[in-house]
Amino acid sequence: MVAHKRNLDGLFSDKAGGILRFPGGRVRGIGIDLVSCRRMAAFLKRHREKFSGRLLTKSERVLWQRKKYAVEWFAKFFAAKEAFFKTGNNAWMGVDGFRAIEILPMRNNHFSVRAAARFNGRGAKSYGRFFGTQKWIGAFVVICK
Amino acid sequence: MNDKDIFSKVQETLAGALGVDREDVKPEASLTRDLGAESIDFIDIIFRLEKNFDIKIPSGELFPANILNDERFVKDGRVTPEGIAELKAKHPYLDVTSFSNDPQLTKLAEQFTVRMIVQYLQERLAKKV
Repeated sequence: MVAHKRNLDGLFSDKAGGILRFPGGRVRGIGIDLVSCRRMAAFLKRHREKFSGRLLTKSERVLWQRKKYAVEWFAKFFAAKEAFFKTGNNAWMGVDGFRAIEILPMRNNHFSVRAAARFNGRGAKSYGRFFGTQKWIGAFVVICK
Repeated sequence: MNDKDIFSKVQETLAGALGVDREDVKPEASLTRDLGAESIDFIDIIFRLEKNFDIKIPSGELFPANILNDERFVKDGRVTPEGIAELKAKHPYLDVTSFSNDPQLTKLAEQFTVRMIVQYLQERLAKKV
């Protein structure tokens, strides 16, 4: 129970112990996703070309290349996009839906999401945070307006 | 390729993607409810089908996607009557009969069945010939 609580605390605080601050405005949606690194590694081994070309934007692919095509980074992008989809109650948005949004990593495992207004509404801003272990990578996203 | 061959290849594809026995891949089986598929598996399934059947499956053609982003078709987490009509028109292989009684968007994926994939492929492959 205590360990479980610690894990949950980890979702909302950064390494320095500070609380993740979202920009002001009303919260319009929250999404969370968890990806198994082992499973993602198996998928990448099988579909590497298609996965990167059809699921990541150009700048995400450049970043992934800089990260030496680490499975962990691909899992981060995937989990963040899935978490974003879930903010709008849309767990499945098609293969091309993945490339229609862009994850912009920031410091301390935070990231923002660039997406067309049709996904999260005009004027809305989406922010999130990565979390996880060596075996699992997760992301949660909050949409504010 | 005849219908039996298509079904057999779909069985093989889904068994490989989802880690289930071929015998469990029955026409009426729901990909999520019966075979345990998650969204990452839908992508895996699409890529495997493309490879195994040598076709390209455009986004949203096999599994509905873009319809779900349209405010006319989804309201408060539920698919509207217009949305149901759109699903029937754009995805004739998807049986939404029981779904229309309680059209919660989160339950839509439960309607994706093995039969739906087989019927989609039968038509796609017939056009290819």
